[in-house]
Amino acid sequence: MRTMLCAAVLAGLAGCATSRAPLNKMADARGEIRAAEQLDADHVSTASSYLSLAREEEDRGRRLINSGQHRRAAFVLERAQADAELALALATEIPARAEAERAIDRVKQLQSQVPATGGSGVTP
Amino acid sequence: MKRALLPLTAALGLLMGCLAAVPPELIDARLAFDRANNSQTRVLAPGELAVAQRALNRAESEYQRNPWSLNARDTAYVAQRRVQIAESRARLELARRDKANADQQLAATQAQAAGELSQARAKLQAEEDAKRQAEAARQRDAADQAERARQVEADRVAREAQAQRDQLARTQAQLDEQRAQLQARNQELEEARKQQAQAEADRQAAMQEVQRFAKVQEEQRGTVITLPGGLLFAPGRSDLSADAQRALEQVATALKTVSDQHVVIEGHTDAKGSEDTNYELSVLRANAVRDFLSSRGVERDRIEAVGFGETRPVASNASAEGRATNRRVEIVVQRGVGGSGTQQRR
Repeated sequence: MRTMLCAAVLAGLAGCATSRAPLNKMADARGEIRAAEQLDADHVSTASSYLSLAREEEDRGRRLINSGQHRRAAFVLERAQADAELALALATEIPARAEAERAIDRVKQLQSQVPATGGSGVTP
Repeated sequence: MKRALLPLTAALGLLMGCLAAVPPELIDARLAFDRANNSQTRVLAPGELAVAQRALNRAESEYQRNPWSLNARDTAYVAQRRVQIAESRARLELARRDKANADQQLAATQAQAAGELSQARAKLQAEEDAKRQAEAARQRDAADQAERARQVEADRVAREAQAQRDQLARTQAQLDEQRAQLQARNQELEEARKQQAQAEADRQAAMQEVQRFAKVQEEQRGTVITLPGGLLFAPGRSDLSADAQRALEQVATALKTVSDQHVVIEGHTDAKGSEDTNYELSVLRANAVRDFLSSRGVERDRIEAVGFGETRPVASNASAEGRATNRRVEIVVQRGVGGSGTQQRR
């Protein structure tokens, strides 16, 4: 029994050690983080926290790769990519919502200035 | 023994796997997916939700394969993020639609405002045009009215001027006529003065002639020409002698120069003889003088013949000289006019 368990662990370690480094996932995560940064996600509330997580996970994935834990690094880098994509989505969504709200406010303001002639109000 | 333990160990592991607690990441991912799948996310972000579902299936597979592995938790974590990404995409799409709708409404409202502004401007312009036209019409009416009033006033002034000219012409004509009349009157007056002067000269000349045989004196009753009876009549007679007629010719000439004055011819006698005879004789002698003067051009209706008989002596009848003085005919040229040639006894 002990022999079998040891063999299994060694086999797993060997698998990890022998698999290729998830450089593509590292590149994907890095690309998403850069895209979020370019969209100024650091200055968008909620998006900035996910971007920070993505950076931490990217860093952790890099360390895992450096330590040879390629399979584990791949999962961590997927997390980094997912957090970065969420940061990017929020950095896109929140200004868009703000812009939509401003547009709605402009409509309301203009409609309040224009005498009603049978038209309807703002219908967001 | 060892061979018997191996299946047992596997069964125990499987049992422990089934009894192992589900990772919170997987629980959250499941809940998040259910929430998103039952919301507008399924309509607004179907692609992203499908990606999330695949991620969740993968997480479930990892969990089934190894419930305790970090990979299972990581894939569940990723699945939850995919759901969040899908929800964010759905909210983004919704925001974009709201933005587009707002932009559309903004454009419509701006168009409406522009239209209403244009209508308001057009209405204002129309009102201003109407006001300008009304003001122009009012000014035209006022100008027309003023012109009519000016024309009426001008006509009135012209009429008044014409009337004044007419009146002036009439006045001028009247003045000319009055001047002509005055001139004629002056000429008449001048002529009358000349005639009067001539008459006065003739009278004075005649009187000077008369004074050669008669006494002429001015008394209160007028100019009295006293002709002595011996000159005119023979004693007891009343017919005029030739010398008397010559003397009376001069008297007639003198009386015709004072044609506007009444003449009274008074016959007087002396006291010799009866009073009635003397009276009768004085009347006849006065009438004879009157008739002669009338025959010589002295108007008869301004000659009055009066007989006084012996009643008005001017001298004593006791002497022949006095009686000769009392026998006389007095011709009184009275001042003023009136009287007739009727005989009367005084």
